[in-house]
Amino acid sequence: MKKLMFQSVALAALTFSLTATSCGDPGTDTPQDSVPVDTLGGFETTTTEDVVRVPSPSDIFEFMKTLGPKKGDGNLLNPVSNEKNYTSKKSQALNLGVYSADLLYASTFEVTDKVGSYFGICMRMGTTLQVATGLSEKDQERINKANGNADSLVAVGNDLYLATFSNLEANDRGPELAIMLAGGWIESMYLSAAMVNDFEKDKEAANKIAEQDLSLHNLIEFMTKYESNEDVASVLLQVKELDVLFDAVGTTAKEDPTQEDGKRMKIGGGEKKDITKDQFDAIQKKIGEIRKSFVEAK
Amino acid sequence: MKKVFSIVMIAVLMSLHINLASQLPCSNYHRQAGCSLASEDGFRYNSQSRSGLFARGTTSKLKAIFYSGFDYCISICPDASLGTDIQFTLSDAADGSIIYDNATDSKALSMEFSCETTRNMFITVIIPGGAAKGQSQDGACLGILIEQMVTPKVGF
Repeated sequence: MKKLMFQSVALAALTFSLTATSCGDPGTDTPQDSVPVDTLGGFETTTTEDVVRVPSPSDIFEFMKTLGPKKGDGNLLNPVSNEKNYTSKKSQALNLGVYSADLLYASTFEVTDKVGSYFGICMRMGTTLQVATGLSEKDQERINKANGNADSLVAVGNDLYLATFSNLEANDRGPELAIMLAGGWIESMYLSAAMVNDFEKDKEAANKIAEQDLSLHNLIEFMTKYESNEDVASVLLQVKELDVLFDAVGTTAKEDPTQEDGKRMKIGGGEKKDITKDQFDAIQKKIGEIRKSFVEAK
Repeated sequence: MKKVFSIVMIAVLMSLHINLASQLPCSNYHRQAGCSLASEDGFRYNSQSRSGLFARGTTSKLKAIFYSGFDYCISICPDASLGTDIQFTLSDAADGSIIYDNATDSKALSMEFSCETTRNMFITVIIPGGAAKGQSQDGACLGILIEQMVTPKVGF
């Protein structure tokens, strides 16, 4: 009887594990969420559900770095000592995102003495969340051998972030991915906003922050797919409050036409942001509040 | 003892789905050598790239952010079984206006551009053909590789 019971439980577990890989996040590896089927000339045509992407912390930091070379401030990072506090799945996913952003900030803005420890935290938290990144101690050695070379450090940090992202995505772990993305996005904004020291002098940087409203919209769209999960829903509520502040920023329509420039097209048009000091202060304050709730989560 | 063995077995089986899924053939199709069709060196991988399983007759859209101050290269890498007659367009996510259509560019599978302002855009991929009504067909991998580089400064 016991043997039969064990076999039944094991079979159920196997069935679940196979089912979990074959449904969920649209467009991962199966056109499974393709829904509308039309017929055209006797052939069936299918339109898959839109896939929404959110720039990684590295993309965001590279964008900020176009303002010129800058040295980062290691004191802004979420302290290593907080790692032990993250005991719930939600706080672990949030802070895997936060620490990943910290790692990429340290790599991009040459806070080289912090890179090794933040890489280690991301690896450990990935293991805790059962994310198989395929990275190992050899990659930690790559950091040691990088010897302060910013490009190499960014490459290792990116490999870890992308491996984590891909693994969660490929395994249909949408809610955890959504929470991790939110953690990474908020930390990236927190660290980027800190680059604005004097609003008038740093207005270009402030407007670059304001331009992140589009990536915030994509983050919200991505998270909304998983809002039936209560952890996602609670974080989504927070980022939506921030979205209201971003939407208040004024814009100027650009009328430049799209041009061909040899092989490369110059896409004109769109909107240029024009943020005020009050708007920036409000956004920075809200980002700080959300970030505090993330890093202090248990 | 049997109880411990049962728990271990269940844990192993439960973890199977992670390993199985991570081995799905398409997930990193865009990272294979030769996918990039960039016209010059210096482009770096953008994390918004994506691959998936496609069948003939499929239309798929990917929404991504493109920052001002960067040059981008988008390369479409299809499995040979999907044919070469693949259409891809770039359109504004806000108003749907078409910015680029490879139908007017000899069905090129890559394009390079820069943006005057940061934009949220759809990359739409259309695989022509399809299964006859009521028949199923096999899928094949297709990758959308996005690469970027800081726009080089012109002049002194």
